[in-house]
Amino acid sequence: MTSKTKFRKVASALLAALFSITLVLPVLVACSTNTEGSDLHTYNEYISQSPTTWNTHNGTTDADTYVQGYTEIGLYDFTLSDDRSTYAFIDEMATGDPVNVTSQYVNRFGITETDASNTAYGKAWEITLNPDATWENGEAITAEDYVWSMERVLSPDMKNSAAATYITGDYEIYNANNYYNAGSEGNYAIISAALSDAEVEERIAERSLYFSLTDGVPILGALSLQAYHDLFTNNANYFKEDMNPDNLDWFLYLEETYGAEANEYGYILLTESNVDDIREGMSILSENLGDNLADWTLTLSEVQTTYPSYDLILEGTYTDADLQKLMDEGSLYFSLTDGVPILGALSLQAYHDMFPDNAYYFREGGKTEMNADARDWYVYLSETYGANANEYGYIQVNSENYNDIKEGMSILSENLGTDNLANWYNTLSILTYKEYESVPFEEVGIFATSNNSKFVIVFANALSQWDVKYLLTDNWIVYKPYYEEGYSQQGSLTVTNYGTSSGKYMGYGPYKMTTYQANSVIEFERNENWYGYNEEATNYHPGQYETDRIVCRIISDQNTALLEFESGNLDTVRLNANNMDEYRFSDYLLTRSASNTWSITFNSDAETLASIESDNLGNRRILASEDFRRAISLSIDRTSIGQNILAGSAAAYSFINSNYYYDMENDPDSIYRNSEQAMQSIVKLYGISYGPGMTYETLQEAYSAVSGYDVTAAREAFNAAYDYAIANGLYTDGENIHINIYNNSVSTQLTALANYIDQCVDTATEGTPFEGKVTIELRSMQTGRYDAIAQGRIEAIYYSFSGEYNDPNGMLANFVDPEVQTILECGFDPETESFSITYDFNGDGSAETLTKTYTEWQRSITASGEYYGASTDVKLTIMAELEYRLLSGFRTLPLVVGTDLTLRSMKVEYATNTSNIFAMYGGVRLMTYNYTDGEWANFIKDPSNLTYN
Amino acid sequence: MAKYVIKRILLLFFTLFVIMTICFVLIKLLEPNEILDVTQAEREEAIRDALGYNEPILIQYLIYWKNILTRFDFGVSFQIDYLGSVNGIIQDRLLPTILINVYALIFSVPLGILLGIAAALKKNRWQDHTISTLVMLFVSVPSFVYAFVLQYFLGAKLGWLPIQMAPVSQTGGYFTWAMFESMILPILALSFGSIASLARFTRAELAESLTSDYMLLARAKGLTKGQATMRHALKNAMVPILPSIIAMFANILSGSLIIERIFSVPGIGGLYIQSIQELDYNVFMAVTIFYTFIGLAANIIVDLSYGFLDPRIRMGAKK
Repeated sequence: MTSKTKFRKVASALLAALFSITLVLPVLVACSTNTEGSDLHTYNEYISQSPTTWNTHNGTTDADTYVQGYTEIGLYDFTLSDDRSTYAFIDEMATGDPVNVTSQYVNRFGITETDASNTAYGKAWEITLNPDATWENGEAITAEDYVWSMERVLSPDMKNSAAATYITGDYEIYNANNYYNAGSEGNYAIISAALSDAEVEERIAERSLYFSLTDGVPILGALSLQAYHDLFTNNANYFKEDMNPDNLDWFLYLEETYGAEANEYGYILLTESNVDDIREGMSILSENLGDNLADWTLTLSEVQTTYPSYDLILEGTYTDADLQKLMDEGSLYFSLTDGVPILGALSLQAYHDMFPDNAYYFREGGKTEMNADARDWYVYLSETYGANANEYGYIQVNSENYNDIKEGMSILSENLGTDNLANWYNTLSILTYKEYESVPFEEVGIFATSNNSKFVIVFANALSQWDVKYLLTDNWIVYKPYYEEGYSQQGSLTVTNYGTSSGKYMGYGPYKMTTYQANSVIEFERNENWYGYNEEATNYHPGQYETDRIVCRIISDQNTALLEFESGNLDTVRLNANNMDEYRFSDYLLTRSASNTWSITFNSDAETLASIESDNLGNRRILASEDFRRAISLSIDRTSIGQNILAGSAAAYSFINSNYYYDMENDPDSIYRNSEQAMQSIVKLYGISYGPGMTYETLQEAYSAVSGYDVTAAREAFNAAYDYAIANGLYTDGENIHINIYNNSVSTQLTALANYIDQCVDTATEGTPFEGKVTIELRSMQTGRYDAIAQGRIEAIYYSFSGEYNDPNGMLANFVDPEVQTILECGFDPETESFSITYDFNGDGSAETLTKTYTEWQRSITASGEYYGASTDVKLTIMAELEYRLLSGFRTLPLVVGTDLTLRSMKVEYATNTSNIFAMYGGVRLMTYNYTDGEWANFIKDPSNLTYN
Repeated sequence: MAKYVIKRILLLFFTLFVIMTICFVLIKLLEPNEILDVTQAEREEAIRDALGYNEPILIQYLIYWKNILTRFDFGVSFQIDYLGSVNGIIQDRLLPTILINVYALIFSVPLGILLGIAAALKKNRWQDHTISTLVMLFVSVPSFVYAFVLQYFLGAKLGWLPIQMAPVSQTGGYFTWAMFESMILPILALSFGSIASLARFTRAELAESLTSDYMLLARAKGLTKGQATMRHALKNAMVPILPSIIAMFANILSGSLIIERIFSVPGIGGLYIQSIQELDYNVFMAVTIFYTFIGLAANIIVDLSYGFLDPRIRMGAKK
């Protein structure tokens, strides 16, 4: 055989082998596929990204809370009512309803007699725990677990995200905010309005004014005085009188003279000794800058200084001169009665009294000489200066007592040895002022009672029982041993790796995690220790939780998930707009309106809009015209957006969509959007009349006719906008208008949306002076667009907002309460702009007219507001008027409400196909199966069985 | 030669340092994602402060280097795998990526070379045209298109193979038949491009070698065409091909973002992008160091391999 032939044969054989393997492989695969004949019920689902941590204190992503949904459960939970038409509360980790015990705690936890007399709402609530609730390892869960876990939630060293629920807002726990922020300095903020000399003097006495050379001063374009001085050589002259280069540079002078006084944050406390210099220097700057710096006091900062804090000198070396300086400032203090950590946290008094032998440490010669005749310096100091202690037990150190204190504490220091008390001044404290009072956790409103079977939770606001139960559908308990085992220090932050793997986590819900492979799979199986499966246990749930196992794949590609679903390997799949053509009429399609509304928010501030025009793309100032913004709104056919561009979404004409309920406690059908007041506000907004003999006879008919789309009205508004803009210098005839709408990403759909809006405006401007002049474009700004629109650096953004389903007023807070959310609408200040409502607020039969700011109106019906306990009609009137006022400014244009689209597999049945806002479709609690795992495996062997469209 | 190697290694570390510095500064300059909720925004700011992220970038960089040099500590992840060590994250994600890519290489290298040989030997005949057409097709079409096609037809419609990679918990490990079975589709998707490029490269090099003078000499000496091809032409043709195969091995470690996403491979492909999007600084820096080091090392290896393969080439050798 020749070489050529050999080569041919070898090559052919190799190729043949390769192709054969390719052909045979699938057959082998098919033969090797394991089809289980299992009687179990396994629910196969997926999430698109891996959880980061399912520690309930820090898990914030949907993936994080996904795990908690199976392995944890609240004190109460939502389920469907027996007839599946609405929701129902159900006891879980608690037994019985929360009990209002406010009257038992008068004069404690901020509770007054008035609070106690209000029986409808309470601040203190007692929760009785389910005695059969255990961790998944069988250990009992007690009230102490709840108290300890809450302490960890609120820990100032950990900064857990879950704390946000309990330190502010309706569900604020008493003193939680102080505990969470313990020890933190107040925020330094530039004062917002100029101060008179008298006010400056007053604030100096309060020690609440500060001056910084190194932090930004907005009047200088956010540059600090130092940066301004150094970066722009010419500008240094602004710090000199008459801009004369030969004069004293006041910036340099202030820096050299007072710079060393700056605290760790770079702020110098304004005092009588430095105010004159600072005033003179900054006044010169003010005169030279003119408009930019109207008043020298606008370089000052303030911080709330409500609570004094005495911080022990534990670190650093202090000479007599250093201590003298502190004395001169009046900030050096000494306490006989507060704990000194160097003595094991005992106070000097306790140390002296509790250990008779140790009293010798306060005597010269100490214990070794047992010199009972030597002066007891503790007793001496106590008798001589003890009466000078202030309300906090601190004695100000001054020239009169300094030497005595030094001598006495030096003797203590020498006798204790260097280990315990290295320096005598370690017993001294420096007074600082904190924005938050330092409180021990015992003063926070949560504690265990009744032998650990109950706990009491005290809120800062009076709440209804329904609201308390709603809050307690979330839980916060964590398993202490694992939690503490996972501690580590990252910088100054204490963190824990609790909830990052199945071995570092302990659940207590109906399922337990058995497998966690990051970016791959999470598996759960029944928690056999869960009380819900035990017929002798409290809160046993017969006939529920048919699911034996849950297998959750991490699938980030939606197409892959859909293929798996169609192959029978997943029991649910989320659809997007692209899939709607195929599955629109499927019997297995489930649709649920989302809570968020997608909108465009405009910058309406003429000045900042003018600065944007420096990009030479076109006029932006026209957006300062309300008529122009209204015209854009009326140009857009929102229904068409839902049908053609963002398939599956529904048109939105208001901020609060149909998913928000105003009185779930008493009326499960209390949809805010269906209330008379809410419908009235929208009908009024779009100018639709109704009444007998008219096109629309009833309010309901008029409301149903609202489309927000009226090209004729839009043209009228454009014409009015033109006249206004010309008259006010906002627009020059013939000028092009260019509006960029920013989103964090640019997708095909969003680009189509922007193009559609552009076309709508083009159509509506026909026959108006703006015809052919307006261009609307979508731009990407991955981060920073919220700050940018709030500060007026851009002209429009596209975003969505949402809230809690049972709190439509909370949704409005997004627009009017800067303490809840940054106000995005530049040019609108809800804290100063106001409006009036005439209504019978007090229910006494007489209407009154009240004027409040937008912020005040919204807060008036929160848990801390004056109308929290008012009638439903009062709250609806306020909410509806507030919503109307916000919408009528047309600064934010609601466009569409998203829709969640899912397909359910033939394998499972949900309790209902109509989603309830709290109980959804019944969840895994009420889900049933048409097939066991084995039956399903056989069923899907024939792909023709799986037909979903 | 030794001097050349030492010089290259020193240059490697210098280049690594420069790239690290640039990347560190760039990632730190990125603004964190905005949080509208005021309470959460304050909390995030407090956390950033506590972690030292508000310190000057230079200070942060010095601290970063201090931790590496004193404790070999590259930090922990906060966004991707909470408190997980970055070393652990990379290790966990490397294995599936390496496996899929190694299998793909094992499949594609011999097949690509064989096809290239066949095309070269049958130059300008129908076999050559067929192979060249297929090569052009596979080179032109992106791998994720094949991924979708394979997944749809072989996975979903015919049900011959799993649609995505199976989890380890369900297969009993990475080196089981069940795991391999679930990897076949991504392996095939990754292979087509490699097969095509190797086939094309091999054909070009071999075709050139076959027309060389020494081939004429070999035939004149009495060798058959096959013998001359195998003993002389192929060896010479492999000189530029083998280094590219070595480079392909180095590229294994980068993974394929899209293929891994489509087939749910828990690999390293998407880690870099994820670390940037989520501003997980420590993971980003660790992955940067890893990729940079591997890339630079691979370059050195490839350069040196030329010298081993072809004695005429000796890097750094004196003339």
